[in-house]
Amino acid sequence: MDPASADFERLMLPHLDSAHRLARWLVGNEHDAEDRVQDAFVRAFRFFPRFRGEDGRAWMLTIVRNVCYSWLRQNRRQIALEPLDEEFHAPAFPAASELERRADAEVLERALAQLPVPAREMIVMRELEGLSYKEIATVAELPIGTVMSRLARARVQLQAEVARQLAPHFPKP
Amino acid sequence: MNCAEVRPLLDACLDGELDLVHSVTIEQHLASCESCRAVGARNAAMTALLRARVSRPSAPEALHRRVRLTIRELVNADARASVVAFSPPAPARWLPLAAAIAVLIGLGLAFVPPGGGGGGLPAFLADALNSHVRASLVGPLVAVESSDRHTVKPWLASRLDFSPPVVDLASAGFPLSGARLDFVGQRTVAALVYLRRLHRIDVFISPGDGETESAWAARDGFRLVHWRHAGMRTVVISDLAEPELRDFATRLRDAAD
Repeated sequence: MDPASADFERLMLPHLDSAHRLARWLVGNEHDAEDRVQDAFVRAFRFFPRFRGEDGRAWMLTIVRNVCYSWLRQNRRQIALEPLDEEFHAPAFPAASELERRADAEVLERALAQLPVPAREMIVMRELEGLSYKEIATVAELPIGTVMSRLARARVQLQAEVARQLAPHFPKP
Repeated sequence: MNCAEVRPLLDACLDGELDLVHSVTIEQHLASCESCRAVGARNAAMTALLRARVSRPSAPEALHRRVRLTIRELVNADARASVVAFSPPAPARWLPLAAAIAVLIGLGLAFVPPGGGGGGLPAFLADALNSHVRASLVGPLVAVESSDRHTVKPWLASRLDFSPPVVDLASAGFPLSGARLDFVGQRTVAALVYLRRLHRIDVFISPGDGETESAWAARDGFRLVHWRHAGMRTVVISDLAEPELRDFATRLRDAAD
């Protein structure tokens, strides 16, 4: 194998798990996520000569995210930011002790899946993948200030959604 | 700072993403403001819950393999394209050809147009080669993934109007990777996928009368071996070197008896 493709395997394949998780949260199902990941790695291989040794995970996830967004657009999924009015329509935020007791994996994952994509990806990249604000800014191609405000907003939306999941009879807005 | 100024920076502060000066100011505010402290505590609790409870599964082993194989196929395709590009003497003649091949690879299309345009290959073989290349580029390589012929054979038999022989050549260094259905020569055929190191060997099987010796063909860096035997028509395609592919084809044919 020539050195460039050996480099590609060494630098990019370790991020396949992370790429797959991001794709799954973005497109919403395993089958389509796997196809997007495959597509993203083909593109990454083609673009690899342009990789300059910066953060490999952020570089790879940028491509994964772009591939997923193209797919979402082609499939006419809604990916616009939604107005931030959730907290006015949500039941009171549960106390930390109630969250601890009742917000199990299923509740959290369902709530996360309900968020609009731009909010969901903030939570996934920060809370689940542990990316820094700077890395998120790279992947989402946004200024850091925008990452900061989107993430803060996404957290409020998520808490509102968890509250709704825990109080299923509360009317939807 | 008052609460309205603190709130937008609160998350960044808790995330350790704020510069020292701002962090100190925010912490001073938190020490004296119960409602901001409550918001911060709730955010921190949610972060901790998400990290502790939401699963972070690894990608399936099949996806790891599929991506690795695709990269390997792309490397091979590039190598073939550069052979075409650099060996012929007259640049004016090879440039459009190389460009055309590069475009075909880029589009994920096959080298051979379906149905007989395969530059001298019989339509059935051209079709099979087309499927082999297309599977590398756009997948899926296998629809049922198993090295166990007792899994693969019934999977195929339940989806086809014939039952293709599935032989185990793992001991000879050709493990079975799985199978898929494919469409070759106007009919649905079985495509068995074997591996040799990182090379893939596709075996297309469909019903066919007659007996022939194994015949060889080569195109675009791939080798094809095909024969008719025991009521089946078999086409083997790979980019494997000839001695290894010959070894594989001989074992496959003998084992199908």
